[in-house]
Amino acid sequence: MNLRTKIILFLSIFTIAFFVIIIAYFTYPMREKFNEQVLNNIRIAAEGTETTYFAFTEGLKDNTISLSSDTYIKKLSEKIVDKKLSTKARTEAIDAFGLYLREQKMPYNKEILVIDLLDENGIVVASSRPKRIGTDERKKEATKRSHYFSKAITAGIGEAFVRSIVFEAGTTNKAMLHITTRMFSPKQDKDGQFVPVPAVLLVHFTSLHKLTELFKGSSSALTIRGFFNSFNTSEVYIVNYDRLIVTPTRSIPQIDGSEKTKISTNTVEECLNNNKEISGEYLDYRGVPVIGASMCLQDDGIVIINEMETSEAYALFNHFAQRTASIGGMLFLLIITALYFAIRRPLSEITATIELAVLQQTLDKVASVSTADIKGNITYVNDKFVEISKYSKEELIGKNHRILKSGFHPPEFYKEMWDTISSGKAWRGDIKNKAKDGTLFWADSSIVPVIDSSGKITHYVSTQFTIYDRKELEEKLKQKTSNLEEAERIAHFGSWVRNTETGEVTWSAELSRIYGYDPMLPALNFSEFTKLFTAESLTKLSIVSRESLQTGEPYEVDLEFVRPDGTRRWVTSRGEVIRDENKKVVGFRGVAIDITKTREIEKMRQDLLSLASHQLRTPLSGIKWLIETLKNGIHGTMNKEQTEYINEIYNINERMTKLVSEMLNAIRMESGMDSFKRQSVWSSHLFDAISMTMTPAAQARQISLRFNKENNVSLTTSPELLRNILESFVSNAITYSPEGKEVFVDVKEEGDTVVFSVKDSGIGIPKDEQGPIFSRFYRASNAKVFNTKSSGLGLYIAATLAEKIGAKVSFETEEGHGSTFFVRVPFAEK
Amino acid sequence: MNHVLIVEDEESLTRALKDNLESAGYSVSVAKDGEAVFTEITKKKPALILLDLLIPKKNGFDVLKEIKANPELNLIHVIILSNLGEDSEIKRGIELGASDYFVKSQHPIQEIIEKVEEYLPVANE
Repeated sequence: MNLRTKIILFLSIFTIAFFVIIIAYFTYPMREKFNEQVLNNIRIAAEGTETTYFAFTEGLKDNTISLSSDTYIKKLSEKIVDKKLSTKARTEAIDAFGLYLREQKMPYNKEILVIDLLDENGIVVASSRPKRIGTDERKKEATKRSHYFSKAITAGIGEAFVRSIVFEAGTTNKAMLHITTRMFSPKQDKDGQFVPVPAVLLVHFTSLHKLTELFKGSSSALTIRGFFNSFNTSEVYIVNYDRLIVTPTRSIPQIDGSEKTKISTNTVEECLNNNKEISGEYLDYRGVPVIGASMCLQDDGIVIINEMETSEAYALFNHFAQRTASIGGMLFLLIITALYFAIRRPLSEITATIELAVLQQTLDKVASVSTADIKGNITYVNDKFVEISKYSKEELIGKNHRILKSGFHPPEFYKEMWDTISSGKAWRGDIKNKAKDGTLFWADSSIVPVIDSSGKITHYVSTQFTIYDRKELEEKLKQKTSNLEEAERIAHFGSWVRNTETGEVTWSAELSRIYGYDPMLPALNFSEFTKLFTAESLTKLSIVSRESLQTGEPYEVDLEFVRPDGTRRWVTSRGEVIRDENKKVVGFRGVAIDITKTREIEKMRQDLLSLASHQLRTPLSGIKWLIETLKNGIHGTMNKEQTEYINEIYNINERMTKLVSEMLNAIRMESGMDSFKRQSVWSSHLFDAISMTMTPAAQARQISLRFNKENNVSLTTSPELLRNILESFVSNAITYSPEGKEVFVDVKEEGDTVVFSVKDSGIGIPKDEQGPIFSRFYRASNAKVFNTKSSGLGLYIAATLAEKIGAKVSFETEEGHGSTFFVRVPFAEK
Repeated sequence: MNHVLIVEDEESLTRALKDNLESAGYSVSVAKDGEAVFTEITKKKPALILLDLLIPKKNGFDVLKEIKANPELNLIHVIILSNLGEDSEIKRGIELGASDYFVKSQHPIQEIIEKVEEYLPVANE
């Protein structure tokens, strides 16, 4: 990691940390402060609603007290609960009570639903609604906390009691407030005090909507209440002892008994159970997060709740927080960017300096580094430069770079170099330099012009890697390769390497030319290569290469191929197997020698011989027939001497005929004109045929010709050629065996070959002449003495034929004791 | 009707054959090239022809083909006498309708005379 990366990384982490701190600050301490502020405001607003509630209920109490102070009502009440009065009088009073209230009082206050008179036991004894007479209100007080009868029955004058807001079945759906106050007699006692009557006036009010209006107040009012109400989600509502919402809310705008909403939020329960007032953030009856404060009147079974949704309460805060964060962030980024740009240059310079120092250390160890001004005068050299050039620093500084010039390169070389670098481009090349002591060395040199901001070249930096070793080797190798290529070209031989594992084939240039391909093109692959050859050549090649693979011996074979231009050519191909260090075969390498010219000469020679032989035959036939005619006596008989002479001439002529005939055979064998068929043959059949042809010649010399017919072997070969070979051997054996001796033809199996042998009891072959016995026109020196009839072509033809059927000929001999000739024939071609 | 036509350009061979055939009782005429053959056939109506293959003007195979293609001449026996001794040549000669094939240098002249006598027995000796 370089310095620049580290710094950028540091700044990034710092930026992220800064944002985290800002966000955390807004989330916790600031929010808490804001929360406190909001809650205080809500609490104040809640206190306000409580006051409003009290004010409202005080109004209702006043109303009630004023009703109870009505003299007529007082009188009637006294009568109604006076047990001493007759039932009739009381009934009249009860009726009058109801009628008076309905007609004279209630029309003045539409919010009064019912007015009841309760006796000391809390039983309705008179009512504006007479149906209610007999209702046990004490029981209701206990269960619903709807009023304070119990307090009122013992209260003093002018006291009224309010309690929870309830829904009552039957009368109305509206929520109701009940006020109770004790009834007093119109009469005064001796102390001037009003005498209480054992009855309580119970007034049912349905004017709660007015309370709601009071709660709402004016949203524009410059009070906390007004501020609170200015929120869309702010609301004030009351929950009674039954946990029912009794005043309208935003979500329940119409409150009537038909759709009672029961809530048991923490706020409500804490008040009604533990008389605790709650303020803070919590979930409201809808499950929405709100911030609010409750006013608890546990005795009255009433909770006044002031709430607003947290999201709205904090909207401003969040808005503020976001703005602050984004403005702050932007400012911060601006500062960072400014800082970055401000320090970038120095930073890159620092980084570059450090990196350069490291680079220079490395470079100084391996390369000669120097700088030069625009004229090429040296301004700096490193230690390596001094070491290589063998000049001292002092000798170099200020001198022109050409101090190292070796004189090897032509002026154009330097011109091209200067043209390149003075145009502002880097130059690279191999330069031969001369050190102070006169030694020459090659350097792989790079010269880079240094350009200032105005585009002007200020100086040049040169880096040189000494390569005298490599260069020399390269040149030697190049020279050698070129020599080899030239040699191949002159000798008309090409070389090749074939990797049998990768299939890769490499050809020398001359090999490509021999096969008629462009040396610049890649070598043919092996399968393309084999298509060049004639079928016969390809067979030969596959046989010899397989043998070579088995035996490890190099092979040599003459092959005929067709060039892409259609011309037929010949090569002698020599090759051998390549093995790796584990002796595993990894390929072949070899050479091919163009022998087309030799072949052509050979062909010409053969043609000439063939022609000559043919032409010789005609006069030979003439002589033969003329002598025969003469001997027939058609033209008269000859004397004994004449007959002897003519017989001698005839014999000479016969020998010449045989010679010519064998010469033709030899030529035919060599030129490979004889193609042959392979078929299976039994050795006994072969011997029968040979016996038939050769017995007359043997008998003529009283030689016994014996065959081994007990061992009958079957083999697949060319019977014709094999017979020719054996006949040639037998003929030879007969010729060279003294009269009366034996010639034995044997056969036996040896591994995968069948060995035929012809044993004579002849003169043998001298040791120093055994080598060329199978060559053309060869005859052992002693054979010339013994019998001059042999042409010397017999064994040569036999050897040529043997090669054709894949057989091998050989012999064993002992001078004076005869010879044995062998032909080893493979059972069948693999 | 015992006329034999020798087609041969080599004087010595012609001489030997002629002497032997006449001695055996045949009348003999000679054609020295491939064209003279047909003149001689028209003139002498031979019953047998001894035909050399390498002769001037028209080669022996062509002459043989022509004779065998002519319904008036195709009954004449033709024996090839040649220096060419390749199997392929012998095969070709026989296929074209030659009665026999001799490689000159390999056979004594007496054998050829005997072969002629086989195809063309001398009427009365």
